Amino acid sequence: MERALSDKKLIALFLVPGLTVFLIFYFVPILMTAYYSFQEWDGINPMAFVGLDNYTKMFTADKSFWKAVWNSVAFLLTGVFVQLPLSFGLALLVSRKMKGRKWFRNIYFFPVVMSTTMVSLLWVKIYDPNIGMLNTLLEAAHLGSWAQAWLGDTKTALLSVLIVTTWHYVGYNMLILFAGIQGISEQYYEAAKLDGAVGWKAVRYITLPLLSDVLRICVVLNVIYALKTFESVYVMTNGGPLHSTTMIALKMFQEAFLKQNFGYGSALAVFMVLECLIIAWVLNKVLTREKIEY
Amino acid sequence: MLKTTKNTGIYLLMILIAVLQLFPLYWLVVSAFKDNSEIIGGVVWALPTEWRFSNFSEAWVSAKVNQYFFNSVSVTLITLFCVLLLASMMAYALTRMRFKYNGLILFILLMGVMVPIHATLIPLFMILKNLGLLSSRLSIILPYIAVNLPIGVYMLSAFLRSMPKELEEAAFIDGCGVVKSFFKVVLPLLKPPLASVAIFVFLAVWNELLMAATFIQKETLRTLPLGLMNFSGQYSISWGPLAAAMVISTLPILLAYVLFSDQMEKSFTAGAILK
Repeated sequence: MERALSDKKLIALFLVPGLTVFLIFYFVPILMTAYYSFQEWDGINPMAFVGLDNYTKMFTADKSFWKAVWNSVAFLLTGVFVQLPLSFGLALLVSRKMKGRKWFRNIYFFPVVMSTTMVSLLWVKIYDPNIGMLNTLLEAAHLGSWAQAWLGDTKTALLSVLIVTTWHYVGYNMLILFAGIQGISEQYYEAAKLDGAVGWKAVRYITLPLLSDVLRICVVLNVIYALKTFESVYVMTNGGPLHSTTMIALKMFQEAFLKQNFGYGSALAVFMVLECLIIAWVLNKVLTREKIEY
Repeated sequence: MLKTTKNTGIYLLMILIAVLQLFPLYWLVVSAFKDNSEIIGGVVWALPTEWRFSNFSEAWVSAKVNQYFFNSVSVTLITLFCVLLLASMMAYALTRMRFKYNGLILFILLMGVMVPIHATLIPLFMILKNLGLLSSRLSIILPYIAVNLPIGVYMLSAFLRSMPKELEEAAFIDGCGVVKSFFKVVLPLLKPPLASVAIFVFLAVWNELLMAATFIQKETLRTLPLGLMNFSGQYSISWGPLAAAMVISTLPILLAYVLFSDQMEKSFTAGAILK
């Protein structure tokens, strides 16, 4: 068996097909993006090497780039400081031993499996000033003066999109945290009960510390999802009005496929990759502490 | 006494959150049966006065949701089959077979889990154009396979590493070669993690928009997310048929959810921990 398992031809047979597809359609493109980012190129005429020009343009000349960075920060902060605490609350609720908790868990999680396109199209209609449910509900509640074109106004567009992503993904973090909570042994709570730690105290001194690994994963996931946001803004606002909801991924898409600036688009893509990798690495460093043992 | 009031309070809170999560979807479903005058003038939470199934037939035929649906089904099934087969072969080779570049390959695959797909979009467009694949189903199937392979390999190798080798050894003693023991012994044992990978890939592919929007240039090949987006542009005034189209495109997910919700929870938590 050992000999059969080190047969070169067999190893090739098992690895080469998958690896080829992966290399050609994923790995090589990543390297090519880095190469393109140093070129000026419209996708048709020959490329011209321009060194760091695309990056200089990005950091100094392009105003909507910084708007996109700032919007990413808004998404990131919402993900970590609004969505995650809400998810933790939900996870605590559905972890209680009570009837029907599985039903609630399933309901809270269901939006996660729906596509971002679907959810976004649905909320475009919810926010719609004419047929939308939101304005109609506000009028029914005698708050008609609050009604407005939510996605069409620079003051409310970003907030409206953030509400949709929170609604869409709150169940995702809930599920991961729920799995983590299930993994905490009952003994700890019983021991804590003897010391008088019940309710919030048990959450504060048992659940939270023992969940720190899972929380770290959630923070990293939320941050990466925030930085990668594309579909929701593409479908709901296309970055507008006046770049108030634009994101890096959307800018990359628009520069490359609408304005034919393939070099500049690639530089934006490289920025995005580095941003994701560096922030994930830093978060992992900062948030990793000594493992807690009781 | 105190305990019951507390519990009632918690139930009420949980029901309130459930309503917040479900009400937009409820509105979608009832709108799918209404016409514009009823949607604009009517009460938001009211059931339709007349159940207009015509919205569904309009979406299915005139708005070509049938075509988008078929495109999504075929792209998803082909991708699923290839990812499951290729990922399990790779995972088997990487955990059971003996060769030098094991670590290197796993490292390269790890990049596929970490790097956002957005970074591959522009070169992929060029590669597909040069291969003459733009405007064909393959233009999204091949990238979908490539994108989903790494996570599949990781989930399956984690399982394979913890699986005892005795059964395979027995198969070898009975005279099976590597290929035969892989298909007859290993693959059947991989069913649980394969189900998790399958759900993960199904949702990722069924819901994908960015690559489809970039690489699919022929109207007849549009997948559901892409088709719906276009549809919403054209039908910006009549919400009923669009809502019907959206309901149709969510039905397979709802069905998968009802049938495999436990498996789905597993695959989401496993996927999250990998990323």
